[in-house]
Amino acid sequence: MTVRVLIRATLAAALFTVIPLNTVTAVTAAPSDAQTQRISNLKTRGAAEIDRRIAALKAVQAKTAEVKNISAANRAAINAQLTGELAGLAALKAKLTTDTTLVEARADAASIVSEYRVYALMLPKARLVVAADQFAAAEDRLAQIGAKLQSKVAAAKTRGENTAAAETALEDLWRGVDTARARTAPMTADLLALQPSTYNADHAVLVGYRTTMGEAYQDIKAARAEIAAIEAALAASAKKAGTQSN
Amino acid sequence: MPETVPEETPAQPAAPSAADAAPGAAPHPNATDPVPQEAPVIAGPSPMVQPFISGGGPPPDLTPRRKRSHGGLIFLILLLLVGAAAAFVYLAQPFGPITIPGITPTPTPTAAEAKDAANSDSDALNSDVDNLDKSLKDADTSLSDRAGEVNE
Repeated sequence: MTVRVLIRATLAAALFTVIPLNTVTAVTAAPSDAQTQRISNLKTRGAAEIDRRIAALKAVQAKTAEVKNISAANRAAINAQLTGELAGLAALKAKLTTDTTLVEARADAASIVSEYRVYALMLPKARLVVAADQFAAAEDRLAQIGAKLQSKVAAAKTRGENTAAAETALEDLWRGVDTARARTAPMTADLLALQPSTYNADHAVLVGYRTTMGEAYQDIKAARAEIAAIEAALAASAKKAGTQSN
Repeated sequence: MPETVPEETPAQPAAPSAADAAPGAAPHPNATDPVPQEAPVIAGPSPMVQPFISGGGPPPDLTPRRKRSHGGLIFLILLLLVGAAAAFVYLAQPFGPITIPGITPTPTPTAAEAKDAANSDSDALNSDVDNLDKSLKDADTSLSDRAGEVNE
């Protein structure tokens, strides 16, 4: 009988000993101190990255709002996209602070980059849309100047002056305007359609646009140079006509 | 009732023609007078032709000679002179610009005005070129701005 009591007491003691061990095993799912530290680090770093992006987006948004020579529609479209990014990043920051696991914190921190692409896509995209509109404005101004010069050339021709050189330069000016317009006209719509997912699929997605815009810039500069050539040719033809009449 | 016979009016005898009337007989009251027949006249040569026929000199011009008037010519010359004077006054404007009611005169730009207009055109063009340069510079700045851009 005593032996039985001893056995029972031993088993009971063993059981009570195991209970705390089982409890410890269950606690292993919760982060350790190191993991907690890593989660905390992700939250801190993530919040800082989000704040940095929000500041950059707001700066570009403010600049886009006051920049000249941009259409109202494109200004509104860029503003809407940047506002969307800002709202998304603010929501992500709030979610990140509530993350309790390392997996969640890692996923949210990674999405700061992959879901928003602020530096790789959104900022350059906004600037390129602005640039494309500014190029379009420059092309329009160049066309206005071309029309005025064309009237001058026509008037000189009516007066009997030799306008061959001026006409050749004028043709070059119009060619430059047309080429630049062909390059930049479809650009804003294409750029506005680009999404972070587009960049995720092709990291060189903006390269072509930047190259094309650089070519448009050269076209406009070359056409701009023709203005002086036309004016010089008109002055020369007028002088020659004056000399001949005298 | 006795039948009444209508009375007939006696028929009048037809008037005999003058040819039918017997010579010496009294003319019938209804007879027409015979038209006297003129003997045909054989025309001789006209007085104008007569002298030629007879071999004489030219006929004397008996019509009264009209004195030729130059009034029309003088009127025409005067009209031309007045027109030329009016054209001179209108075009050369020696007495200042002429305004005709209902017609807005087209001002003829003076040389100074023409020069001002040319300068104004040139200024406008230069302003356009300045604006173009600003637009182009802005576009280039926007294109070159890569601040904060990284390949994420």
